[in-house]
Amino acid sequence: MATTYYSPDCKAGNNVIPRAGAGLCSVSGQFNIATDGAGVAFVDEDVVQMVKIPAGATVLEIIMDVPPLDSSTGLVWAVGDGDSAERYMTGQTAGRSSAGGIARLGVAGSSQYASYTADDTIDFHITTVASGTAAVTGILKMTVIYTFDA
Amino acid sequence: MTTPFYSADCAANSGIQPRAGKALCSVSGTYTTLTKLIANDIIHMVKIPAGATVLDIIFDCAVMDASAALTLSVGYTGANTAFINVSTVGQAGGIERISVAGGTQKAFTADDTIQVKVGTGPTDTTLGAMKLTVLYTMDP
Repeated sequence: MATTYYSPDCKAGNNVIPRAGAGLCSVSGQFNIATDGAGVAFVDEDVVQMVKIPAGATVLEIIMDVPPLDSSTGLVWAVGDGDSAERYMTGQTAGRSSAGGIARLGVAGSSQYASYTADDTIDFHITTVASGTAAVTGILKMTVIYTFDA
Repeated sequence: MTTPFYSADCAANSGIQPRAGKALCSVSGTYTTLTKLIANDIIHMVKIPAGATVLDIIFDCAVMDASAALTLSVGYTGANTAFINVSTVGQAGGIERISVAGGTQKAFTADDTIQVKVGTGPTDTTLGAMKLTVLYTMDP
């Protein structure tokens, strides 16, 4: 017989109080390669600190919107923070073949990361450099949705 | 040597102010088709206020064309494919999120609506519901 399982949030008596301290927060940042990056193509292991995340935050979702970054198919990138460069996204290939794209938080276990005891940044990280012509223009955009609820 | 780059948000002294104007807003709308859709139909799904910056869109569409012709896009006035471009999600039904590169963080300076536009009309006459949720912020 199948079993009904409960997360701690759904256990009886676990005080669901709708809209009491249940607010969502968001922070968004943009990085213009031509202006913020002086039109310099990314090289291997470059890091762009996209948004600040405060101590106490629990990260729920990340939306990374990238422009075309590589005319060929070599580019690989990740999203993480100051402690773990690939905490949230790893092995991402959007931006290859002269086409932009949108990627989301995808590393298993990384949602609801709540161990920020100090302010940090959420970072875009080049893990493999472009194999074709690397972009010198275009805008990277990141949005992080998070909560401060306990 | 690699270079640390910074978005404007991460530039020195830009400051973190937790829970100060960082609120997230949402608006949801549902529309159930009354007749078979045809090419270039536009469905105004939700209103979006001036000052809003759209962060995410969740488009949930029922099965409306098992014959696999129907295409749908999501955008706003004058830019009907700004967020989701020629999706086939309405053929078998499913959920699609904002997916057009560069479409995130669109800031509206005037009231508008978020719209579903029919590209290719369906072959079948199946009617159904479409649901759209927009997550946005009013923060500057």
